[in-house]
Amino acid sequence: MRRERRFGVGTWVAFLPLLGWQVVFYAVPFGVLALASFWQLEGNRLIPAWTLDNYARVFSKSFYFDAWIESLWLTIALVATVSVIGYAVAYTIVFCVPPRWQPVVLLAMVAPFWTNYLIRAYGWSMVLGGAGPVNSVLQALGLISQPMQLLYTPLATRIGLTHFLSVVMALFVYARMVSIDRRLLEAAADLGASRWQAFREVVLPLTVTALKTALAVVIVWGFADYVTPAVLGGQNPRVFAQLVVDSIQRNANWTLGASFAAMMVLSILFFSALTSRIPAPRSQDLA
Amino acid sequence: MVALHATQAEPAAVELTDVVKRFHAITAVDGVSIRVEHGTVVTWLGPSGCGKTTTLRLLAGLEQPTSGRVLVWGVDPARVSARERSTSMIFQEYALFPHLNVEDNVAFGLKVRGVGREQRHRRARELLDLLGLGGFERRMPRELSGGQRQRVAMARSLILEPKVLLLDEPLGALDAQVRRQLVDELRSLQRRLGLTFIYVTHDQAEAMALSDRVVVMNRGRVVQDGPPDVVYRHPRTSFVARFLGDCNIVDGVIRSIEGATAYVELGGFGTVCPEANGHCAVLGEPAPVKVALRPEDLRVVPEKDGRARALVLDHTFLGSEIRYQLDVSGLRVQAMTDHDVVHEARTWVGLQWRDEQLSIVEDDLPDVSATI
Repeated sequence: MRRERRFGVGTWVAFLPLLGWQVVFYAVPFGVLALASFWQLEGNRLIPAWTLDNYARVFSKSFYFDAWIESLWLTIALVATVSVIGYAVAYTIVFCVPPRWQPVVLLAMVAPFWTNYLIRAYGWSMVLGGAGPVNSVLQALGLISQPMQLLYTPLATRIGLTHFLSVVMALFVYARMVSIDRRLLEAAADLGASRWQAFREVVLPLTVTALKTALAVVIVWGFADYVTPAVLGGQNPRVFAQLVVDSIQRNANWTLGASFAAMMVLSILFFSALTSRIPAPRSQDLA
Repeated sequence: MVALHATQAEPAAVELTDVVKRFHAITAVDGVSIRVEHGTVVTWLGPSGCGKTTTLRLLAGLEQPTSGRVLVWGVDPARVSARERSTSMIFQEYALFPHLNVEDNVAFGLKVRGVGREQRHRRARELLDLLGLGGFERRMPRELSGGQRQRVAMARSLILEPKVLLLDEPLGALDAQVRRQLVDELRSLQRRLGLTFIYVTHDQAEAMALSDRVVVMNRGRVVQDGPPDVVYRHPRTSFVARFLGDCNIVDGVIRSIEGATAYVELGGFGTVCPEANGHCAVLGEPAPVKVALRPEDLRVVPEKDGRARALVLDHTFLGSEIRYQLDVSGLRVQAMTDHDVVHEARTWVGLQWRDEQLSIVEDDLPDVSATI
């Protein structure tokens, strides 16, 4: 009845465009980048002379290591906040909003993203600034006497990115969760499961793959984003992506920048590999 | 002594009293009262949208009635938690958890009750063996046939030892042959376990094969309630007659009423004396009535032997029998008859029947014509 899927010639031909894309836009540039990280710079010219100096610098200065740690903390914080907030938003829309209102709520959620990413970051900088609404409200309530320093702090970066990535998470999870047959939940309830047990035993397992996919985006974005940390977080402490930009744009140190970038890619691969260890049902079982 | 008291005090398995359920402007259940004794198989039969599934969901506590009283084993299911209910539901298309294997599906009810892993899996395996699914423990639901899924759903419900099993079109997704086999299995399982089955279906053959009692529903109301053979033989309304198999519904006029017996002038059929179904009391004379006549009760005989004369319009060979389209004084009538002799189209034949096989029916199908 069931036929094992076979990879024939046709399958490989179908994969060719994808393979070509990956080679041209990913493998080759990354190869060049990796090579450059082992090369030397003479004036402004790359010299293909092998050296480990760049990596020695990355690991020698605590300044660089601090930035890496800052990016790591940012990513961990985002994984935590975005998983909770984004998932909760999706759950609320699916199970608490009547179906005909769901598209409206989704639209309202996505609408801010029709503007440019940079503009939205500046929007947050106004909200969090000394004269912004957050400080005004807190002062009006008498909770603080002087405006708090929110802007140009790691907290501002976390707020801005949590907002953006929670929407991404909510959309990923919503798409899966809304397709869950409601009878599964009725069956769980009929078999004596509480709401929480129905969530833990049925809804969560059925959506964990979407959660993992969104987490991959969160990790890549959290570790690699430059714009939000630069606009909202300022310069102290800096995240790893800022080092890449600094060394290339400001110091024209291509080889050092390349080694930072290579470090970043490896870090992201490592953390993404961690999420793949979250257990999830096989996708074909859910089809 | 105690046992005696227990049996005397045993409540009805299911008791619905004047139950109404409205969804906004739609009245899904419109004043239903039914009492079901324990250990019986009762089928709620009707077309989609007749309120049968809603009634079942009321019994499962998945919905609350707008008015009226729902009791399952003497308890209002909407007022107690699922764990205190005596029911378990088999959902349409089974609602098996797709991410759990067969054993985990079956053990689900025990898991959420905190029964230990080893114990609940032992119990699950016992039930799977009982239902002939030994060896399938590790399979995923998608790897099972429709009939196997249905049995897993049964096992998942039975593990909680319900007194009343609510089945919502459990065989709807299966092909006819598997269905027939599973109907027999369900029936023998029910007898073995001594459970009450409330079974919802739109399939009259399934209903008749399985049930001790059929409750025919239409537009949120109970139209007829009785043993399957009685409901089939003596439909009270034209809707019931049509819903349970093919039926000729012929216009007639009551000429006289003597006690519970009515004499009806029935067009080309002459004067007949059909089963009155209690309708006599409300009918006068002369009064127009409708009479239901099952095709298989009309026997095609040589013209001279018939009580009525009919012209053969067409016939269809069905294997064990032949279906005739006949013209009886301008009325199109269907007859099923065995195939000793085949009467060709445009020949005259006679018709024979027994009057007690005819039923006066209340006309609750205003939108259909008088013939098939």
